[in-house]
Amino acid sequence: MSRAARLALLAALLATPLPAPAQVVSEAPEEARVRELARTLRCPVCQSESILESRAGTAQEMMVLLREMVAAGQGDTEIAEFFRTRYGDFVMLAPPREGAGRIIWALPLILVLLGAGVFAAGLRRRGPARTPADTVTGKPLDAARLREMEP
Amino acid sequence: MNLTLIGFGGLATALALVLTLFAAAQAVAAGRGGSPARLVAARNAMLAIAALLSLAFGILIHAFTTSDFSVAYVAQNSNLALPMLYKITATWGAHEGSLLLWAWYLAVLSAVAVGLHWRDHPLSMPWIIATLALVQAGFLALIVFLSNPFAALAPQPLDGRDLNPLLQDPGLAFHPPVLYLGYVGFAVPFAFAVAAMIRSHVGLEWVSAVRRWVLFAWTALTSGIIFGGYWAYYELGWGGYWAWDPVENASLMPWLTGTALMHSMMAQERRHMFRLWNLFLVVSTFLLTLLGTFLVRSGVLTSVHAFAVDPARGAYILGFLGLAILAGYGLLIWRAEAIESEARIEAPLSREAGLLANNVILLMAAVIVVAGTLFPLAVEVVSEEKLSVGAPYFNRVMVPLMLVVVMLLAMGPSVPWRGMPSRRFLRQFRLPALGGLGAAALAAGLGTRDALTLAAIAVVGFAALATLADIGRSVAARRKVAGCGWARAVMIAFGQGRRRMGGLVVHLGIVLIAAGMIGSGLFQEARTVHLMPGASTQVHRYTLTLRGIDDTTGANWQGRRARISVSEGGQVVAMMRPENRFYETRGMATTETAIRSEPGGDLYIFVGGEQDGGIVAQIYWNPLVGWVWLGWMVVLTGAGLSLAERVTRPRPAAATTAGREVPAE
Repeated sequence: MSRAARLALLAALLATPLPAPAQVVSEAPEEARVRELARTLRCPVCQSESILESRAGTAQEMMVLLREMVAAGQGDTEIAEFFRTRYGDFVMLAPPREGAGRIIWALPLILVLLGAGVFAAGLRRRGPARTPADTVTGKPLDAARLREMEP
Repeated sequence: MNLTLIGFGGLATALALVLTLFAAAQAVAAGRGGSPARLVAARNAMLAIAALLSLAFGILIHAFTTSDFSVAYVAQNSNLALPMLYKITATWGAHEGSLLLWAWYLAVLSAVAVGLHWRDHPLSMPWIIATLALVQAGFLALIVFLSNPFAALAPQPLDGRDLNPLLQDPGLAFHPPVLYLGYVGFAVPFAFAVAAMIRSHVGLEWVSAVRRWVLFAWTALTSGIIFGGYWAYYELGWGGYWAWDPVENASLMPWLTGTALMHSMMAQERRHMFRLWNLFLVVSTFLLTLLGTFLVRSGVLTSVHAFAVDPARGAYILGFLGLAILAGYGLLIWRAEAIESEARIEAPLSREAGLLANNVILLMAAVIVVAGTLFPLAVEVVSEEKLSVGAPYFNRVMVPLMLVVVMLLAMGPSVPWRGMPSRRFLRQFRLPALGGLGAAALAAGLGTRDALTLAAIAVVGFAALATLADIGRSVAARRKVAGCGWARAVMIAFGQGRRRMGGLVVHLGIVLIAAGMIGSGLFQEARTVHLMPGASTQVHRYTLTLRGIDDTTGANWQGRRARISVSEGGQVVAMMRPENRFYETRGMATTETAIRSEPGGDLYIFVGGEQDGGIVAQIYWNPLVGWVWLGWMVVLTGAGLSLAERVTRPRPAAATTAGREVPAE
């Protein structure tokens, strides 16, 4: 539709009073929790999409299962375990904290310790600053020197 | 006619490959004390490579615009009905063409770098040329022998298989070229660093020479990443822009180390510190750009982006990457002992200490992204297990790290070198800190309970205020000195202190992006509803009513379009038209989301499908998401300001006497 036609339509809509909507649909009450859980489950047949984002058949089926389980009042861990046993670790977007998954969860902690160590070491090596000079080679073509040479 | 033209494109690429080897050999000979004439020969070869690859790339674009399906790559990625814009952008829409784009960029940037620095860096030039030529050789060999975009297809099909419909979007048309510009831009600093290490001359020379290159590459990389996010937001329809997809991670890795590099280079410029560290960062950043390109292009990751899957190329790519890692880090280890920083950090409340903290945290973040992305691959190789490391993991780990980075970003620029008294430090940041805490308290009062969300609000509020105060102080100082009005003082501050003000403006842009991410990531409102024609639903302060569903068609697709009126307080304020499209040639369906932006946020509608005569729609209210794009523009402005700083190019006295053509040796 052209821009003019679109504007005309909008103007027509604005001019005519809206009929009262036939019905006001609101979201099913448990849908927010469904979304939250769906974001943590990977669609097994797609490429790194969660089942919330994916429109593949498998993902849709998983959404239906998820909705049923949420409606039945099952807990988060129960639901996660169900999908994990049925589809494998692969569908958990947060890797399990056991087996190989332990390594990747331990990594941030190790890095924080290492990083703190590096930072502390960098500070502890404090001392009087020496005159900065290019002692490594002291060759004439260093940019700073070149700038000094400029008339 | 077309056949010979295409043949010529292949020939030009092959000739460029031969010339890279020639250039590398001549440059190494010149560097080892050979005749300067060899260096001139190497330079001329680099210029010729740029000309040849420009020609080759132009020929490939021409093949697309003329729909020459005798070329296999064109037949697989284009179609007669494809709109002209996408015919052109399809050139880099898949593996072969995007590699040629990479090589062409490298050739052009190499030629520019050689031309710009020819006179100022005569002693490093042989090694700079040799490095660039060898990297280029690695890419061209892959193109010529394993991924030739000019390969013929017989019999020639009547029509092409069309471009992947997901890529038929203006956002994606420009994402790869800008991202690649960022990737390739880091090759020049890498070449300077290699030259510095080989010559064992790791002082200021290479750092001052590449500052602009690093800033340029960083800006392009940032823009490329943001374009990618923008595309994902528009095209993929899940209401967000960053999914911690491995392909997104691939572009974030060099960004994190590149950001660290840009900051730690300042410490070397000003205090002659972090020498080894800078070389490590520049080598790592370049290697990560290679890793990023190859991860995406080898198809080793199965993801939305991995549109080229060919494990046969894997061996070559792995080999090339392995060689680059060995050469880069090998050189670093070989020279490590000769590279000692001379100055020490004198106080914990100093610019140096802040830069050290910035570097440590950005490097930690880079390691986490690299490890999280490669970990599933590693597990799969070692065992039969398959697992995923996705958004829940990265959000959990990266958000706290990034908050610390934003905190440092706010304080760094106004903490002086060598240290400051803690009383002054506290006084300087008292007001911004109170402002940040106030913002968090306000959010808590409005019902936010999550501790991390509140911390994020406090940090971003603090950073915004501290950065603005910093800019204000600079302007006020100029005003005092010049004794002029505020407007004039702003002009002077931004005109004369371009590098410092540019940096502060970039920081402000990053803070805006962070605010947009917090708003859209943590305060998103979402609804999933089944709407029959005439039915309404409420999202945020709007009432959305489905008015009807129509058929619609485009050049190469057919679709269904929902008409949804948006009203606020009984008044219709907009019509929104989300679509579902079906691209027949590829048999693929895509969705076109409908988005209505206003300063406070975006109304975002995605139609999942039709059911019982109505639609199933996901409707989102994404607060402040526009600030992410706005912040990017601010970042771009700041980077431009910093790049516009006047160059005081050192001019070697010897070069003027020895003549222009031959570098003084």
